[in-house]
Amino acid sequence: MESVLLVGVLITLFVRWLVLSGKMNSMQQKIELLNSDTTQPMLIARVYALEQAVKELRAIRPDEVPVVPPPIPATVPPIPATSSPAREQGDREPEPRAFEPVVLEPEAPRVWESVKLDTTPPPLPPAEPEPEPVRVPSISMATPQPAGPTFSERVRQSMQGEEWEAVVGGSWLNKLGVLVLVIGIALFLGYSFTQVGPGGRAAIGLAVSVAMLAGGFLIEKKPRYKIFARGLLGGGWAALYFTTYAMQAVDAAKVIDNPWLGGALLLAVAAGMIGHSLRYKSQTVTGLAYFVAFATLSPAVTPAPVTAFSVIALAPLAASLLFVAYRFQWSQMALFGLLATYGTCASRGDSGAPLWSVQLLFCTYWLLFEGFDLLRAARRSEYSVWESAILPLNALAFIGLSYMKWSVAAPQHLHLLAAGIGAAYLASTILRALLRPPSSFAPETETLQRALSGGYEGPISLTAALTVAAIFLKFHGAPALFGLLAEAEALFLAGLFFKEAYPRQLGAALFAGGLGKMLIVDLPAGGTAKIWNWNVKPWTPVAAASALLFYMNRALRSADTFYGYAGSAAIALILGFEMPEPYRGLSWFILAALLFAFGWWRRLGDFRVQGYLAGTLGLGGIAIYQTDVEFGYAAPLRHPSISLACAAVLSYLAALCGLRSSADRLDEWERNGLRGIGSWAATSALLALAWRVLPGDFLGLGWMALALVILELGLRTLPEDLRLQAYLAAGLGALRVFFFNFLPIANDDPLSKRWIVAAAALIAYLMAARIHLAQNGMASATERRNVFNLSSSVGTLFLLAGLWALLPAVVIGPAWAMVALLLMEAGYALDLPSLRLQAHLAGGAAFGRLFFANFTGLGRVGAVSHRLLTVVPVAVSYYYQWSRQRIERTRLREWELPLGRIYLYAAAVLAVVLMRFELGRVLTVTGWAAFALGLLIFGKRWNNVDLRWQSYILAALAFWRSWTTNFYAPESFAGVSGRILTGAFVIACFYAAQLLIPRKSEETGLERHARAFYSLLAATLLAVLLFYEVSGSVLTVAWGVEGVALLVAGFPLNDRVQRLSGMFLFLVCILKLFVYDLRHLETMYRILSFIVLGLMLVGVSWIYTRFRDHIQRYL
Amino acid sequence: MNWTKFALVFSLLLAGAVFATRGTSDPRVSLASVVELWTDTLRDTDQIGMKITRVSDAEEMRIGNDLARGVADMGREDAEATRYVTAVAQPLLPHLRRPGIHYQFHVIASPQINAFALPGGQIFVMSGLLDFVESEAELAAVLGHEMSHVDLRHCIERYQYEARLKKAGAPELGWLVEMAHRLVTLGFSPQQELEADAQGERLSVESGYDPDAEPALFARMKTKLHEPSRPQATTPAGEVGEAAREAIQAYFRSHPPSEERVARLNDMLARHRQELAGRSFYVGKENLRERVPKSSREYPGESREIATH
Repeated sequence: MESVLLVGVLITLFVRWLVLSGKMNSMQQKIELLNSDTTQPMLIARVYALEQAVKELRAIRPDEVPVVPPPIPATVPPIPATSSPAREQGDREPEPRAFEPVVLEPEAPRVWESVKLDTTPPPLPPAEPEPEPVRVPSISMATPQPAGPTFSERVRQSMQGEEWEAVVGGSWLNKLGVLVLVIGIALFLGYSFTQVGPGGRAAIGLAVSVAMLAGGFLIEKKPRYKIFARGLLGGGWAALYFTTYAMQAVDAAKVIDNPWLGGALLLAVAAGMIGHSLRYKSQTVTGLAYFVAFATLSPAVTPAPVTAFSVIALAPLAASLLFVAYRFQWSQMALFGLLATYGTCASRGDSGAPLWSVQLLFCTYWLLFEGFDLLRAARRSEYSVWESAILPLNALAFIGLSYMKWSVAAPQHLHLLAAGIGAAYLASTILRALLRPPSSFAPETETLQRALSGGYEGPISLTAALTVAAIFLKFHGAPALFGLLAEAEALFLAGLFFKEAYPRQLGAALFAGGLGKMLIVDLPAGGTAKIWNWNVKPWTPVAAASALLFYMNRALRSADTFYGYAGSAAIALILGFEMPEPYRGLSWFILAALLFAFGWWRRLGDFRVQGYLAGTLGLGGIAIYQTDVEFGYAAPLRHPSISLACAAVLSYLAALCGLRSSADRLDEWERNGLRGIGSWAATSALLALAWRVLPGDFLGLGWMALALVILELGLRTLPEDLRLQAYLAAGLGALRVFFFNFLPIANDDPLSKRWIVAAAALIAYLMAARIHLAQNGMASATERRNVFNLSSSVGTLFLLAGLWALLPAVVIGPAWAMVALLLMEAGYALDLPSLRLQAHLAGGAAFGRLFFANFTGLGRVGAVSHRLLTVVPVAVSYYYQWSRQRIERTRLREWELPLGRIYLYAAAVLAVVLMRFELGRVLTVTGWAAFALGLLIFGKRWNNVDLRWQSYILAALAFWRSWTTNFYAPESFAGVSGRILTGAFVIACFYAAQLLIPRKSEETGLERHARAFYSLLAATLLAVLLFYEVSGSVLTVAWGVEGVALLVAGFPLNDRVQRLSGMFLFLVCILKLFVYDLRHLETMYRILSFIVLGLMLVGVSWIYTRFRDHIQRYL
Repeated sequence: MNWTKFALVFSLLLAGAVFATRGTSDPRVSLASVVELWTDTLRDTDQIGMKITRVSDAEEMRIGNDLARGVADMGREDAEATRYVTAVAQPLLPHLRRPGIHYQFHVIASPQINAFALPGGQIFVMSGLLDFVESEAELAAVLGHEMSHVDLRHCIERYQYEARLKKAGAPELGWLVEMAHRLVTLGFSPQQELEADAQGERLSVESGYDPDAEPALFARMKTKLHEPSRPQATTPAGEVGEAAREAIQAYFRSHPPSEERVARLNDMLARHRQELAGRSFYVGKENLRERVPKSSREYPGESREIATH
């Protein structure tokens, strides 16, 4: 043990030496710096200049100081280094002698400067090196610095009195040495020393102690050894004290058997120490003495068998220390005494002494320090930090030590300990309330500050806490909570009686603690208790009592509105756990109604708010129950929706109450809130009611219908909040229909299910119609427009889906086209572009739908296919839409203008595709050609360029398909004749188109060549037809005939392209004749070809020659 | 607003819809129309190359002979059955477009229910198919189908690029180009099958065989090959999804489903019902069993007359 102690001391000394040596070096450097010839004058001069500047600025009133002071030139004129301060300052106050102003060079601001330096760049140095005036820095008035000692003053102070070396070497080293010495003595006395008996050891200890004291007394008179002497004196007293202690408590030095004698001796030594320390009035000396004394009593120093005396001995020591501390107001020493006393006592451990004696000793300690604190409080002055710590540390140590003893000696009576200490602190509370009443504090003093400055708040807090501990140590469950309630109520009433807030706050905290305990511990624990044959939760009576007390407190002190809230919360809690789930929400709702009614009647806002909160709870409870019923977690009542209906009615009544109550009944926020939340709650309850009552498939429909009713009320401002709720309810319903009816809709569902979406469409349209018909005062134009657009869009979407589900596949396209038609006409009639947009979209959907189910379908009625029956009307409807667009052009929005042409092209596409599938891949060319002709006719008649271009495109398509398929239709039974007829028809259509176009076309651009286009198509196609149908042998002849025909027709038609086509065909024939026929044809056919073609050529030539004059007219 | 016009158009739509709910219905929903329009475009475009690289009938037959030698190892040729098949096909020949093609028929001893055509008139029939057909009319329909592939140039069009480039001295390039061409034109292969069905039907009908034989053959084949019926979606999303899936599948399918072939043939017959009404057509079950062609002997009770309705 001793080796550990020695090592610890050595380490402490070494560390301390390191710290001190570092400080010494630092101080040495500073001293050298200050004493150096170069820096000291400069520094002093700078300090001088700064002080002058500060003085001047302090002399200026703040309102005279500009916000941004101009750069101040040196206010101190250049002072020669040899001039005296008095002479230089003139009539100024004399400056300290050490200040010798010198001319300074500008330098960077130092860290320790308490002023802000001017950061403007220094002026350029003059040509001749002249002493530059001291620059006085500008000072920012925005950040005034506290007026403390300047640096020079601090330096002077540090240099006064004892030298640093004396402080370190003479004082600290001395104290350390004494400490070590005393400890050595203690060790010496404590351990066996074979050569010396107990008496000898005690005598040695006494001799050393006395020697140290005597030495100290002797050399104390010499100023040089003053500090050293004090160290000896302090150590001597400590050694004497310990020796006295050892003489009766340490076996190795025990010479006194009577403890009372030993105690008296110790008291005498302590008194001597105190008396001696008072002579010096030095806290350090006295503190050192006490420290040594305490150290000697610690088991680390004296590991002697623990005796009661070693603990009892602490009492007079502590008492003397407290007396000194109180006498000289050495608060730090008092705190040290507290720590040392309790620390020493705790380090001794349990001696096994009887409980009463130990507790008596602890009480003595506690009384000593509590008394000290009470006496200190009686001074009614502000506490230092050290003093503030005495009360809590005393309590902590006292309670802790007592608890440790009691937990071993009488654990079953711990509540008595808590109660006893609580009573002690209650007494302390009363005494403090008298000695340091709250009125003695400044009104703005905070509670914590009061508690730490001797006020009653600290002890009463301890009293409350200890009482709680006593209650919970003694009781459990409901009795404990009742006890807590009683204590809390007592505190509340005390606070009320004495008009003090803190006890009330403590009471409130205890109430909160009780409730918290109930919620966190008792409530999850479950169980039941029986009261008057009624099974309730074990905590229910406590909660009920709490509610009563809370309401009573709320009545006693109207400012404490939170008691009202707490009371209502307690009742809500009881209802929540005691009521069966089906009635839980309803009971909360009834509570809400009662609270609100009471608040409304008595004009008490807090009760109304409680009503709102309880109402929210009620709605939640109802919602949870309904959800549980829905998911099978709770059994439904016979009429599970009654609670919802009641909630809806009550909520709506609340909304009407908010709407109709007089101004003094409700605040404005309440009125708005009631109106809003009540209506929201009513709407929610109605939606939930619909959810409970209606089958799942019809729920969305029900919500939408409900929204219609709510909208009507909203439009009639009953209240107007309902409008928004109606929109949301409708949206909810629409979403429900969308996800549960629209998306999974199947055309093989039962008819009733398939009708749901159509019915939803009807409701959506009704809502759109209602909002459209609403007057301006009912809703804003923007709102009406937006709601109408959304509702009608949803209606259209659902209608299309409903038609899809209800009708056969082939009819859906025409049905959608009908919808588009109706929407379009409605859009025109009501001048609603959104309806027209929906019409366009529905029309587009119809267009796409035809490609899914109509073109390739093989259904037919007799000889007429379903595709013909369905696609043609849709195409016609598109032409109708186009015509309507043209008529209503002036009313259309800009985005609608191009859509008319889209209808025109869509109709043409439908017709073309219809022909493709009605006539087949090949024979479709007849239809296309005829259609191209028709389009051209109407395009010319109506001067519609789109129709004409459709004709051109379609003619090209027909030509292309004719050429690639050679008019050969495998599915046709017509054979060769069919092919020729088909080809002839197409070619005839092309020629007819050619003839319809005037020779001198008025068209511009590419259209100028339309006639030639058709002519070439026809001629080429005829040549192709001949190529495939005439075969190789007489093909040349056939083409020659065609050429002649083209030429002959070209003259009367005055068609140059046709004639040139004939001429070109002749050229082809000639080439073919020599390139192919000559080599490949049989002789007979070859000859025939040559002859016939030759004749043709001659004939044509003759015609040209013979009828030259007539021909000239056509050329 | 002109209410008369509106009423007319609306009535037209309504009447069309109402009438469309009558008669024979076809509830199928698909994107077949879009697929057909697309394949139409592909075929029309493809015809540019086909017209440019067209080969003569003689060259096509030479190519066909080369290819036929390549498939000779598929099995032993049944000479007797070949003679019968050739005899059954003879009445069909005059109704073809291309008289320059000399058709050769081969019956291969194989259990497969299959027949195929090669360019130049090489027609191969598996003996399994001969066992599967139930009448000479069905056999004639099969032969008509395969001969139509040749007549409509479906067969040679698959070799034209290769043949032309081979002739130009770049056979490897020709093979590559032909592969690419087949990949691009894969989409209208089912359309070509349907065309061959239609022309085969026409050929057999014009040769005096029972028009209902071919639809009946395909209906039986669907059962025999366990072809699943096309699923019909019942929800809008399912309808679109099913249609898209079917459209994609159709592009990569070489043959259309037998169900569709039957429907198309029946529709074709319904459209030509008036032309066929009152005429007598030969079935030839006994002929098939005895391997005696109709041209040699017509058994009593093998003819049936097409009713007017």
